[in-house]
Parts: sequence; structure tokens; C-alpha cells
Amino acid sequence: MLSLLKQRLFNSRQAIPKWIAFCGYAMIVLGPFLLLSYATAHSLLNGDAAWLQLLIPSGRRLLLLSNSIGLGAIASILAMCLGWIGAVMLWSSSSKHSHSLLWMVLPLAALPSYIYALAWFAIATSISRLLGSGTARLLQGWSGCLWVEVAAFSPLALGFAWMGLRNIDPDLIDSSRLSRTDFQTLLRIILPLSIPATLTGGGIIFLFSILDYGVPSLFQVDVYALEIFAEFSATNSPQRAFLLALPLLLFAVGVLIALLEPIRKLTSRQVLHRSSWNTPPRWPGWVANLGWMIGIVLVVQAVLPLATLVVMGGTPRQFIPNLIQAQAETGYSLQLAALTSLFSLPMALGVAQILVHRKIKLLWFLSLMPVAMPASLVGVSMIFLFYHPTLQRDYLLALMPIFAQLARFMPLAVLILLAQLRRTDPLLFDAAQVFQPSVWRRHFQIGAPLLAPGLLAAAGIVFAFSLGELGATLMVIPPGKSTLTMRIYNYLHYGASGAVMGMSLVLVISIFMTAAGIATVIKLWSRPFSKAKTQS
Amino acid sequence: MITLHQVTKHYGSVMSLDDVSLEISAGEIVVIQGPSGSGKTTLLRLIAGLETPTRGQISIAGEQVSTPSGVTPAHTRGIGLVFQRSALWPHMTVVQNIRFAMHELSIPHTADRLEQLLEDMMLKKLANRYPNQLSGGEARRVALARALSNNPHRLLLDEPLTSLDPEQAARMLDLILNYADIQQATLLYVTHISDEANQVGGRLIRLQTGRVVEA
Repeated sequence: MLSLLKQRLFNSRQAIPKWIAFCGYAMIVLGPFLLLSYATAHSLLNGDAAWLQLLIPSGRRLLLLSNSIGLGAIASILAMCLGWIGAVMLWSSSSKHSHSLLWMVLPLAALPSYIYALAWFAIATSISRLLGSGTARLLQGWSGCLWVEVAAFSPLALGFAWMGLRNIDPDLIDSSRLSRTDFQTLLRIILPLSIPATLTGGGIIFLFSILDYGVPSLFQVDVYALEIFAEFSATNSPQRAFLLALPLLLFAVGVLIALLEPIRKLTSRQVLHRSSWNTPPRWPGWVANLGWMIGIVLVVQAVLPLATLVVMGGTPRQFIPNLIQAQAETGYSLQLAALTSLFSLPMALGVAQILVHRKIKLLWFLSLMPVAMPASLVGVSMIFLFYHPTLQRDYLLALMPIFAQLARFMPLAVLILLAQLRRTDPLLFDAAQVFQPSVWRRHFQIGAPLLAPGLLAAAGIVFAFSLGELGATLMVIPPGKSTLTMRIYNYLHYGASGAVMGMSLVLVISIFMTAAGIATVIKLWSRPFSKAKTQS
Repeated sequence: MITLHQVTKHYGSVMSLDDVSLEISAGEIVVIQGPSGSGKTTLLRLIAGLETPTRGQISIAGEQVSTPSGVTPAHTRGIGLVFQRSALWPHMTVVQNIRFAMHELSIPHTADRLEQLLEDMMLKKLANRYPNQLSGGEARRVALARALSNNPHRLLLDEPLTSLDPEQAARMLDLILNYADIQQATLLYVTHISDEANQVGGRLIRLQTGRVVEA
């Protein structure tokens, strides 16, 4: 049995570096959490049994948990609906600009949700000045929180829905169009075939929503994730925060387990380069109108906040002083994000190479576990580990934000690299083994160029998400340091001033420049290899 | 009658069909042959209304159906098509795949027609299976049943006998030719196998690099 497992896991000597990478990944991602679990169990056994009541949410905490789940469910359903309809309209459009529009909207998924909150605060203030204070009330409390979450998560939902639509074999659509109208084809063929990817996106959005406390706290909506942060701030006890986090964590883990198989399938799909609509679809009038309406809502949700940032914080008189004022934070944030993305690549690549041909659920679960972990719990676990007397070193404390960001975003890099590995013909690697004896030449002349788009995309995504990370960074930042997001978040509590608009604009520009730079490099890199679309 | 007048189709910089003019009479059997990349599939897809011509016009039964500025919807053309790959809808069973392709209004006895197709194509035992539970040959038979389900006046077949064993292939070919004969349907049959082309009979159209070299 053991030898069989050994054979399955380590089938060649070449697997050893991958497993070293996997262990490094597991240590960073799960190590602090497991140590904190052990310490909590130890405390409970040594007489702190009263803490057990933290495990079972009741009264106010039960209400907070239901608030989190309710908010997450509504936000993810609305974002999924908007995303799917918007994606259908873009995917089936014959306009040359639909692709450009999609690639403009997708990077918005990496923008921190509090940036949307900030912009919508400003918009609500302007509206209330024009129409009276009653209208602004619509963007307060639950409704405001929901609106901002839907706005922030719609680009992600659009991306997943678009992936689902792009993965449908165009012949399946054509064969339906021979006997059915385009609307019937949409409902009976396209919807069922694209819904798994859309639901996967919805599940991930649900997790992001229930684990986030940034936006709800700005709208004074009490949620469970904020309670973890508050408990730690009040008691300074990582064990108590851990026990309090456990119900939310267990719920999120349940959702993640349900998502494992759809995520695995999504990363294994082939990208189909053929267009699905060689003749434009004919939708009934009301469908076309609905599509337009949803399109306008998506554009308003995406563009209006950005336009507000530009108008209120982007004039040279405001922007340049703000840029100078936030110079230290911007530099530090960029430095952290760059180091996080750099460190994440070798570990994520090793994990992706292990997962690519394995369906072992436990490995998949361990690799994606951080997606289900509240950011505040990541922070608490890191603090528990790095403030332990044996590990308390200045240089380690300085690295803590990088470890926290790695723990949060490495799974994203793993998923992107998995998709890239699955889409690369394994015969190309086999051929390299046959013709090139040097391992290094195989890696650098065959492996690296073939995986370059995935590596670049993974690095870019980790960079962009790290740049906007708040939940864990806020807790682990070394004394005297601050990131741009922390500064924005702290200013946000005093209202949407020109200064905070300007700083947010700096962050948005950094994320967009990263996305544009990486997209350009990937496009230029892939151009010589891409095939023209032909039929035999 | 199907008429193609100076039809050209580009995919970006790649020319798939170049100035093709053809007249295919109602009830005629036509075999289309040509090497890979010669434009055979594109020709079928243009006639089916799944592609827009870059230049030229296509008419069916005297009615202009495809021009560069507009294409009438595929489902209004009375066409049955077997794709090069079977293209069965993976979330539907064999029966659901065939039934979905049927215009219920135009076929008064849907259930009878379905029963007959399952019988003819030897699919009765497979009726409730999903496409991923079928072999290549079985999937091909379902694809053919689906193409015939609507009683189309024009049947376009793109390598329909691929993945079938010789015995099944002979039986399917008989069924196709019988269908064309009884329904007086126009048959456009793409194959690269000369023996198969001879068995189908009818007019031979040979394509090379997007041009008709023999018609």
C-alpha cells in the first residue's frame, strides 16, 4: 500500500523538486494555521474549556453568521446573473470592440472592493446634493453594501461566465441552430453547458464575500469576518480568534469542497479558438433589450466609479501632490507585491505540476484551502507563528506581509499554471526528454517558453491582488510601515476626500498598467505560434 | 435547387473558398471530394447558413439566402447536417438529442418518427445514454439520426461514416441513399475515400485550394 502510494506520488526523480515546492507552499499556506490549531487544542485541554462557547455561534454571533451568508448569497447570485448575461452579449456580438470591452472589464476583478465603496460614496454624496438626501440613503447600510459588492464582483462573474461560454464546442451551437431559433439554442444548449463555469465563479464570489469585512465595515453592516478581527483586537488572543473563526471557516471549507471538482474541470478545458457565431445571432427584441440594459448596468458599475476617481482625484493639481504624499506607501506596496509574485511562481508551478495529472481530492483541497480562509484568520495565524519567542526576528517580521499575501493568493497562481499546463501538449515535453539530455536546457528552452504566458499571467494576478490586499496585511504589517491600501482604508473612515481619491487612482493605475503590460507581452509572445482560423 | 454564385470565403488572410459557382438540382446526389484544407467543410457550412460569405450569393429554391450583408437563419433552410465530429449535446441523452432537433410543428407524429429513427439506426438500447457513454460509431449513428429527424429536403453530410465498422458503414450508407431516394432530398456528401464516393454515386465535385477543379 505504502509502496503503491509512493509510486503514485513520486514516480520519478524529477518529481522531487515539485514536492519540495509543494512542501514550501504547504508550510507557508497551511503551516501557521496548523500550528495555531494545535496551540488552541492544547489550550483547551489545559483548562480553557470556557472558550469552547466561541465555537458555537449563538445570539449576536449567529446573526452575524447569517448576515455574512445572506450577503454573500445575494451578492453572488446577482453578480452571476449580471455576469452571465453580460458575457453572452459580449461573446455573441460580432462587433470587433466586444473583445476589447471584455479585456477592459476583466482587470477590474483585481480592484479592491473598497475602491468601489469609495467611489460610490462620492457618487451618492453628489446625488444627494442634486436630488435630496433621500436618494443617497439607498446607498447606505445593506443596500449600499450589496450594490458595491455586486459592482466589485461582477467583473469576476463575467470572466467565469465568459470562460464557460468560450469552452462550448461551436459545433454544438451550430447543430442546434440548424433546427432551433437562436433563443431556444441559448436556453437549451448554451445555458446548461455554460452554467457549471458560471456557478463555479458564483461559488468563489460567495467565498470572497463571506470572508471579506472591508466593504461591510464601511457600510456599518455587521458580518462575521469583522468579528474575528474585533475579537483579536480586543483580546490579543490568537487562540480565541481562531475558535471564533472556526464556524465561518467550516462553512467556507464546505463550499470549497463542493467547488473542487468544478474548478478541476474548468482548468482542464481546452481553449477553442473557433468563433461560435459565424453568422450573427437573432435574439427576440426583449432579449436584446435586456442584454443592452444589463450591459449598461455593468458599464455603469465598472466605469462610473473609475470616472469618479479620475474626476475627483485625477486633476494634476490634486493627483501629483497626492502621489508625492503617498510615495512611501506606494513604493512599499509595489515592493511587497513584486516580491510576493516573484516568490509565488516556483512554489505555485511545483504544486500545479503535482496536481496536473492527479485527481486526489486531498491534494486539491490542501492546495486551494486558503481560498476558504478569512483574511483576518490568515493574519492571526501569521502573528501567532512569527511572534513566537523562537521565531521573533526583525527580518522575519519584515517578511510577514509577504508570507500573508503568499498564503492568500498563491492558489490563484496555482490555478492559472494548472490551466496552462493542461493546455500544453504533453508530447512536447516528452519529445524534449527524448532529444535533449540536459534537464536545464529542457527547462529553459522548452518548458519556460511553453509556460511563459501562464507564468506571466500568474505573476500579474498575484501582483495585482497583493497590491490591493488589506485584510491580512493590516494585521501583520511591521511597526512604522504602511501600504497604500491601508492608508486608503484608514482615510476612508473619514469620508471620500480628494486625497483618498487620488491615492486610489494611483492603485487603480498600477493594477491596470500591470494588466495591460502582461496582456501585451503575452499577445506578442503568442503571436508567432497562433494559427489562423480555418475550416478544411 | 441550391445555387452558389461566385462565392468566396476568407478567414482573416486565409482564403478557404475562392470564386465558387455551382448549381445543384433538387433531389440531386453530389459527392464533394478534395484534400484537407480544400474548403469542403466551408462549402457545407455556407450552404447550411452557418457562415457568411465574404463575396457572392447563395440561393436555395430560388430564394437568396446568403449574401455578405445578410444570412437567413439556418433553422429555416430545411437542412440536415452531419458534422465532421458528431457534435452531440453532452447534457442530453440520445433521445433528447434527436428530439431537440425535431420541429414539433412540422412533424405531426414526432413519437413515431423518433421510434423509427431509433430502430433504423439500431439505437433503441442506447436511447437513454449520454454521449460520453457512447462509442465513436454509436455517436455517429446518433448524429445521423439527428440530421434525418426533421425530414430535411437537403442533407449535408461531412464524412458521415467515419468511426463506423464496414458492416455498419454499409448499412448507414444504404439508409442515407434510401432516404434521399424516398424523400427526393438533395444530398451533398463529403468524403475523401474514393470507394465511398463510388458507392454514393451521383455527380462528383472536386475542390482544390478553395476552387472547383471538377464539377
